[in-house]
Amino acid sequence: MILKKGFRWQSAGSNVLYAANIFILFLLIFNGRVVLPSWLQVLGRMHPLLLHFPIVLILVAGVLTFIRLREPAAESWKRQLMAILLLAGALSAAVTVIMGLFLSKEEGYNGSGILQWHKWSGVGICWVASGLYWLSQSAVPKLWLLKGGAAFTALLLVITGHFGADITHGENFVLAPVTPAGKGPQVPFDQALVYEHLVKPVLQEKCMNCHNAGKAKGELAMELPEQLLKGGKSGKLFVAGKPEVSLLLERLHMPLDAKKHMPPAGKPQLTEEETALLYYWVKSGADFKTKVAALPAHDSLRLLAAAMLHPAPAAAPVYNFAAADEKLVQKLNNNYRVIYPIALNAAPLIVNCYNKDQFNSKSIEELLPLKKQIIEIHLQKMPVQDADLKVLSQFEQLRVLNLSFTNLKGQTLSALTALRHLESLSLSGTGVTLAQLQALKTAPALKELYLWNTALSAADLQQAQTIFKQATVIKGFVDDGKQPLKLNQPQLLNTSAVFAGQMMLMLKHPIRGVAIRYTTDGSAPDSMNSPVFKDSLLLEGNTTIRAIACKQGWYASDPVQYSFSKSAYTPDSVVLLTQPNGTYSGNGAKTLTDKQKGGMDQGNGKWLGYTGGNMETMLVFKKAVPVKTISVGILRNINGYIFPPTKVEVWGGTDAQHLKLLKRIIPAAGKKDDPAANMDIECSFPVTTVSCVKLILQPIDKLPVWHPGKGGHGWVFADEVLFN
Amino acid sequence: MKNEFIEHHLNMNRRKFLSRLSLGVGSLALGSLLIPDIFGKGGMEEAPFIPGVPHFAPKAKRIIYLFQNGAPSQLESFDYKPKLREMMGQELPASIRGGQRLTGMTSGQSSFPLVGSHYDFKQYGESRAWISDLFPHTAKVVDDICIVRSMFTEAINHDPALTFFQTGAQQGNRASFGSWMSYGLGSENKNLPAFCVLLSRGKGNGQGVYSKLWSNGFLESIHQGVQFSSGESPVLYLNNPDGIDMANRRQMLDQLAAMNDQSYKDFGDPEINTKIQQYEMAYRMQTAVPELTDLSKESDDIIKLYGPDCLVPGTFAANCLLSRKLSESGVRFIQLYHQGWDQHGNLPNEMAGQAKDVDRASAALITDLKQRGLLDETLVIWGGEFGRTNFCQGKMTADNYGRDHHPRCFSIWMAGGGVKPGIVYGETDEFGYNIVKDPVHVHDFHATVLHLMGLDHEKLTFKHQGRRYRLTDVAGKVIPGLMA
Repeated sequence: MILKKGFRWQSAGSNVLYAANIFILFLLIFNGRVVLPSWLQVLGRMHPLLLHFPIVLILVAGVLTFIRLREPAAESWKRQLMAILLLAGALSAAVTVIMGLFLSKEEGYNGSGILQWHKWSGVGICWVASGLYWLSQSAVPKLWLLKGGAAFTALLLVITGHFGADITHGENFVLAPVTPAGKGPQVPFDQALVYEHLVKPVLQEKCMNCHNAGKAKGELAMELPEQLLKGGKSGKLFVAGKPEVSLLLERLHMPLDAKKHMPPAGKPQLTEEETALLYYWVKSGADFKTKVAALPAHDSLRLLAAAMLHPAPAAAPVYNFAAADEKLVQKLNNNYRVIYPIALNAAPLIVNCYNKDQFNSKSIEELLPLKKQIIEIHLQKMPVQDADLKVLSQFEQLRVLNLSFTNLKGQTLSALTALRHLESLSLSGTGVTLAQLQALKTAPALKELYLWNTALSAADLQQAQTIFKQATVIKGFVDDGKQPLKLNQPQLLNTSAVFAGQMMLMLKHPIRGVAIRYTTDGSAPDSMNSPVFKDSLLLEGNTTIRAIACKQGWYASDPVQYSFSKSAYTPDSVVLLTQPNGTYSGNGAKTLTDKQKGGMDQGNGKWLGYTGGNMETMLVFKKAVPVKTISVGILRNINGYIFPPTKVEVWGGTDAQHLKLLKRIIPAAGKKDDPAANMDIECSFPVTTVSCVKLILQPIDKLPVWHPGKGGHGWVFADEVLFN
Repeated sequence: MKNEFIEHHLNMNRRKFLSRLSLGVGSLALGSLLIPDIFGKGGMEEAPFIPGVPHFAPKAKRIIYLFQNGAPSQLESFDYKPKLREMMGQELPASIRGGQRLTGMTSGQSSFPLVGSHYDFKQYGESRAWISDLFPHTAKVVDDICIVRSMFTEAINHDPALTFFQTGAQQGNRASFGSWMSYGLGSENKNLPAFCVLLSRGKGNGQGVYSKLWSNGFLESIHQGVQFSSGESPVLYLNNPDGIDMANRRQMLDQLAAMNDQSYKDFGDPEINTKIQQYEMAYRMQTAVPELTDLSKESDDIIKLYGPDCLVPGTFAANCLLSRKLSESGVRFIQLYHQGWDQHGNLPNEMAGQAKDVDRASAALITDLKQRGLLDETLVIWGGEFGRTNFCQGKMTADNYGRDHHPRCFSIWMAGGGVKPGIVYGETDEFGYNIVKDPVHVHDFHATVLHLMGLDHEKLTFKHQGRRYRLTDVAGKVIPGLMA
């Protein structure tokens, strides 16, 4: 009866085991898509508790499979017991696996290699144990299979347990106390000693096992500097400064199979880096006290050390405070004061203020309800007053405070010492003095202090650095004046190069305190004697101005040159009687009277270009004007096939039907080496009253024989026509 | 007896079978409770993406991207190849070229003579990185920057390559890098756009930039880049017209907003809301922008740091200074373009001019950000859209040559914002033609930059026309070697 009852339980258990295995299979297949409700997380977290059951149950059942009792009744009873233990073990394994799978859904389990190994070996235990149970229930259980299975499960248990422990306690937990600390000593670069922190760890790891005071092979111990200097049976270890003849390096460099090679074959060998380190250490004199930071900047040993001294990874800061009420944060957030968490769902807040017109003391005070969460406040360029520091000092969690270019005078700096976590403080561009800064000496966590662009002199800044030993004083970029820069050229503000009566010429330079010096006689301006340009210059006739920019501490700019022409009368309308080449049609007829000079580039749309035929244009005044000279601007660019016209004719009269020739000019022909230039061709004649003027320019028909395009048509380019 | 036992076991009766089956189905049902929406249409739905908040704590908050438009030659800047000088004029071995497709500009060339850098290289800083003499100021900050010599891309012509870099696709209908950033992280300063664009132009052979490069693509139009111009008003149409004061403007905007709000209620088009937001931001920009562009308070040292051109609007130096100010004011993504790097010919001369335009100011930006404590949170990127060939395009003389487009390797540098400083990442072969170590594809670059900004490039998605889009399309992996 008892057996019967037990059997029923067993059957139910077997069914549950079956169901649980299907469930596990399901979880494994849909692993990526499972989302856990939080109450299941609680179950998951019981995984480390429960896992001890399958270990014990399955191991005991496994041991029982190897025991055979002589008494048949006892044997039968043992089998029964074994089956129940196996079932219980497999069941608890299944539950443990399910909980483990739940646990792995929590944050922090990133699906790394170890986790995968643990997961699959754990699942393996569950399945193999279930299989064993069912096997044991079969009519004629194969004993060898049961035994083998039990042994295999035991192995899986060890493996799973090992990986599980790695996950929980970290890798190498068990052996950590006896294995040397990971590569790279954990000392900051500026405090590291070459021997103590670089050389010694190598010797310790690779040599001292055999060469220590207790076990000095070859009569050599390497634990202490004295021992290293003393050497061993074969003589001194090294000759300082001469690695080539040092025994230490000789032994290291021997072929691995050589009898005297060190470390002996089969023992851990030095890496290339480590060998190089010993080489450079001996080469540099094998000193025991040298600091890494004291080595010259590009010293090989220093560079090697820098590579080996992995700076300890900065631990992610831990914030032990609760998040603020989200509604409150939202309420205090506005267009000019932005409050945001450092990341999604993180408690610490950062505050930025923008637009100085919108800022006042209230902008900070209103934030006080968030003082337990705010870790950074950025107030650069806001009109922060000294009195505001008292309020700021209440933000107890503050790490970063940027007050650069604010209105601070510095009288109340001492208030900031209340900020026990303050790491970075920017006071650049404020009125602080060295004396006031003394008050910050007691700020406990200060690591960065920005002090550039203040009244502090270079010497003051130096002293500030000695006051704040634990912090870095950021002094900012200051030009040392050793490599002066060349100023850029003055800029012309006038847009028109042609004027009727008078013109105010305006030049400016973007840099404060620059003097513009100029000449109008065509000579090169100099930075000592040429007159200084003041705001504007009144022009009354054709003028060419050359100007440079000068300032103390800078090289003077390259000269800039501008020409201005006077045109007493502007035609009311212009008609082109012959059309320019389509590519160079400028702004049509207006090109000739738009008061813009064409410049040096014929393709800029400010020139009219003609080739293969004359340029003929009619300029008309509504009211007749007395004219004495008419000039036309042309371009010369011999290499570009642009020549001066071969003939210029000016016809004038009171109407288009009655024109007479006022002037004909044959300009000097273009020569091979003539530089590219803007020129005015001026036609003077006795004063004539005209209302119609016809202008004819004849381009060169056949290019001269010395020109690459000899025999072909040349070009003429025209722009402004001036009347005086 | 034994046989009966076996028989009993074999005769697994129907009841047992069914009870086992029901157990199995039961546990499946139990399991399915753990999967939300397993039977719904959104079976594959991920947790919804919340725009405007980083996925995890970011290393960098802002980006300044100094794009060198036209593709500066890596062989005259950051990838030192002495072998090319030794083999000057010799033919590029076919085994090295490996069938690389050429542009229409060199595909007709009968020979591909190798050409070494006209400029010498020296080693600088703790990192001992090789930098050409054209970039003396960048060399001074070498320990703050991370030079990547193993970038590669797929496109061989400017427009597709540029579009690829800026939008993650060559075709040009996607959202741009900065727009993604604005979408993913939102704006820090609500008085300025999250994404600003600044253009400048050198004297070298140039390639155009188009507004599609800062387009919002399928994202809301609030995310598009705002171009700052070099004229008197940096943001066009921002100033009040004559005779309108701020109060008038406010009144007008309130009326307009009320009307827009009404039409939003009528039609429900989200772009109407965007429009209202844009008007409001423009209003706030009216005070924020003049404050920004006022350079009169910059100290002499700052001007000397960036060089005198920094006060001439429209120069690269001025844009660098402005970008620092924009970044300081919380603009997420500032995209500079400096045009004129397309040296198919006359490379030694043109490149010297281009380098002179950008070298001092680029380095100054690093120094300036650093002294303001901003380099830690600002990622600065410098580079073009592809590299240039190790062989000469066109005529080669003793001191003049050109280089064609080369997608297989090129160099960029990054600084600040969680990038490992003072390292050189990746390596090319001795011909400077193929990458031999640690290649970085454009998608990888995007994935890495997004990661630095606290965004998972696979989660930063936007659903458009039935599919989810990413900046990295369906590729890209974060490169841990670039990150501090």
